[in-house]
Formats: sequence, structure tokens, C-alpha cells
Amino acid sequence: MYKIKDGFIVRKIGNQFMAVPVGGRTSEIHGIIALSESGVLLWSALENGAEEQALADILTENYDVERSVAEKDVKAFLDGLQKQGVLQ
Amino acid sequence: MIDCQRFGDDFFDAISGWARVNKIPLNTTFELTPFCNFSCVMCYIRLNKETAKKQGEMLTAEQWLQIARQAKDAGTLHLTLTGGEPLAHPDFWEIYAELNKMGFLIYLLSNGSLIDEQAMDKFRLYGMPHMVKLTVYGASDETYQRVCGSADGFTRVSRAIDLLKAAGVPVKLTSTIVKENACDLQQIYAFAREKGLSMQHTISVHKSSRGSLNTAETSRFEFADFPEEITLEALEKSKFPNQQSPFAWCASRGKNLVVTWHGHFQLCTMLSEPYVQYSGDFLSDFHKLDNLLDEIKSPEECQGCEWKEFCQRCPGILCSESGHPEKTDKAFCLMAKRLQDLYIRKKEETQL
Ligand code: SF4
Ligand code: SF4
Repeated sequence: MYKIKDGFIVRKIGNQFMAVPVGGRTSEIHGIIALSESGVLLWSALENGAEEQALADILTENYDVERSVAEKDVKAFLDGLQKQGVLQ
Repeated sequence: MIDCQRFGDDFFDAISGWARVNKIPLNTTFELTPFCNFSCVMCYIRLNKETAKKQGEMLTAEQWLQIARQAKDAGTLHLTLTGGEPLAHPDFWEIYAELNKMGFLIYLLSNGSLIDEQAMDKFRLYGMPHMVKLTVYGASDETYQRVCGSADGFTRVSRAIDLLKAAGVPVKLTSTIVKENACDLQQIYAFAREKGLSMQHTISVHKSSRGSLNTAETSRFEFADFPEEITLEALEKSKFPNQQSPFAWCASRGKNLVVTWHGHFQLCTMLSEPYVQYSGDFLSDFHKLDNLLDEIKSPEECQGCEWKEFCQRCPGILCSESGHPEKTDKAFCLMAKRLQDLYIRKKEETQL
């Protein structure tokens, strides 16, 4: 199960989504994290905790995308978040 | 490909361009207080209690937070806290703690003197600023005494830098060089190098139209004061092509907003006229201000002025120097004349 740490606010400015660290989280994460529209869907699911398969489901349900591509995208997304130190 | 990357400059450039076109207050500055624990000779904002009282009422912490919530809804991402000295505001921590929950990138503009261990504990508790920009006024406590009236200002700013760096907060240093601290210029850069930080200095100092009693006219340097250092090439480059609009060179228009300590919405700290008094509706006040700015015209004298190529005017600077963006100021105009004289002299010398 993957879960995002608390202490972020997702904002939309113009047509750009971003996660901004707030409060004590700013000591750890510097700056903001860009999110695409599909990234925001995954992010919201990850706020409550989600498995890789469930995340891939979200993509296939909301976008016209092959399962294998969705799974690859989810992996890359989680990998990115891990590198940023955003996952619990 | 699903983005989850830290933003780079490209992103900020793009969003900044978008904000300008769409008139979104992406960058908002809260000038929390006109008061300061320093009394720098070149400051154009600091007021004494009596003058401040005549100008208006300070916004309350609750008002700042209301403005902040509305600024967030209106699209502000970069929020700068300045003053005076922002940390000298009696409710600074109350305001800061709440702002830090809202999702801004907070920039703190400070003289650094109040950033001590206790302040760092509070930052750790409420959240770190995205960046701290510190102004360095000299390279010794003696110079700080002369420029800022502070006996231990240099020691304190040096401590602030160490504490912020140890906490991983990005720090930027700037300096304003005037006659009172020019002797420290080299040491100021050496100090920045020692701390592993970049430093940028300016000699640009303006009179104040905001009731601050600064000594700009006697303290400041002009470019023409450096006839040996300033090259013909540099002078060529610093020429201002003819401006179509008074805001032709203004990078702030359309996306920046300053809210002063008494609730004036202004384009920048220098352009205090025109302003809109905060009415309770952030976005409508921002747009009202933008409409007022549309009406600003260049001073008539500038039309046929023979020195205009060497005049670094903009509405903000004119407002600071003359009290109004549509008026000129003789002493300011003479700075352009002296620069042009120097240019002509240099040109003649190269042709000989
Ligand atoms: S000082 Fe001049 S150029 Fe700068 S923001 Fe103000 S009006 Fe624009
Ligand atoms: S020197 Fe004075 S009159 Fe000439 S362009 Fe500058 S502000 Fe206008």
C-alpha cells in the first residue's frame, strides 16, 4: 500500500496543478511538485492510501489507455514520488 | 507521462507569462509593518509612530489572513513578507503560522537581526520559508551602526545566515551601497563568499514619497559618479529606448501586487499612487488598481526631453522621487543629464 505523507495542499493555478508542502512539511520538501490532471487523480487516491493495481484502475477508468501503459505510468509516478520523498 | 516533478525555472516562466496575460496576482507582497528595529539611511518605507498614525491604521492579523485566503483563491503562489522588518510585527508568528498552512511559497525579506535560535524553533514548528532574502548593509558592526543605527547588526545577520543554512533554507543576499557603507563593498562580497552565498548589490536608492525620512539625496551614488569604471559600452547598453507606455519596462504589471501595512493595494512598494484601499474583496480591488494604472501617463516634460535616453524612469521611480508617477523631479532629471554628459564626453574621447 502506498500513501502520501500529510502536509501538502494540491492547488490549481491557471491550468497547472501542483502540490505545495505546508506547515512542518516545508522543512523536508523544498518547492512544489507539478502534477498533471491524471497525476491529481492518483495523488488524491494516495492521500488515503492505494495499491498499485487500484491506481492503474483509476487511469483505465478515466482515460482511454491500455492497461499495460497505465501500469507503467503508475510505476513511473510512484517512482517519482518516492524520489521526492513524498511517500510514507 | 504523468508529471510529478519539482518545478524548474521553465515552469515558473510559463506560469508567470500566463499570469501577466490573464491579470492574475501570482506574486503578492504583504508589507506587514512600516516599523523596523533598524533605521537605515536609505530606507523609503520605515515610519515613526506619529507619521504612521497620520497615514492610517495597521491591518490586524485577522485582516491579513482574510486577504491571504482571498489571494490564494485569486491565484497567488509566491507570497513575500516584508516591512519594515516583518519579524518586528507584534503578531508576526500568528500570521506566519496560518499563512504557512495555506499553500503559498513564502519569501521572507528581512534584515536578519531577529532570526535567532528561538525564531528558528518557530520556523521548524510552523514551516520553513521557501526562501529568505537578507539585506546586508555592511561587513562590520561599526558599519551597521553608521548605516542602520544598530550596534550588533552584522553579528546578528551573520548568525541568521548560519542558522538558516543549517536548517536547509535557501538564502539570498543583497546589498544597497550608499556613501555610508561603500568602503565595505569588497568585504561584503568576501563575506558572502565565505558563507557560500551569492550576493547582488545595487546603488539604486530613491527618495521616499511615503513619509519616510531617508537621506537618499545625500547618501546615494549616481552612475555618473564612476566616470573611470563605467565604459562607453556599458553606457550604450544602459540607454533606454523610447518608451511607448510608462510601464514598457515594468516586469511587475499585471501579475504583482503589494498590500501595504494599512491595506493599500499598490503595484509595487514605490508606486504608492494610485492605490486602492482594501474593501474586503481582494480580486475586485486588484482589478480596480489595474484599471487605475491604465490611466497613468508619462510626464509631459519627458516627451521632448533631451536626456530621456539616459533616464531610468518608470512610474514607481517617478512616484518615489517626485511624489507622483506623472511628475518629474529636478534632482532626478539631473542624474540623467550627468549620465548623458558622461556618454558624450566618452564618445568624444574615443573619437580623438
Ligand atoms: S519600480 Fe517601476 S518597473 Fe518596478 S515594479 Fe514599480 S513601476 Fe514597475
Ligand atoms: S530626465 Fe526628467 S524629463 Fe527627462 S525623461 Fe527623465 S524624468 Fe522625464
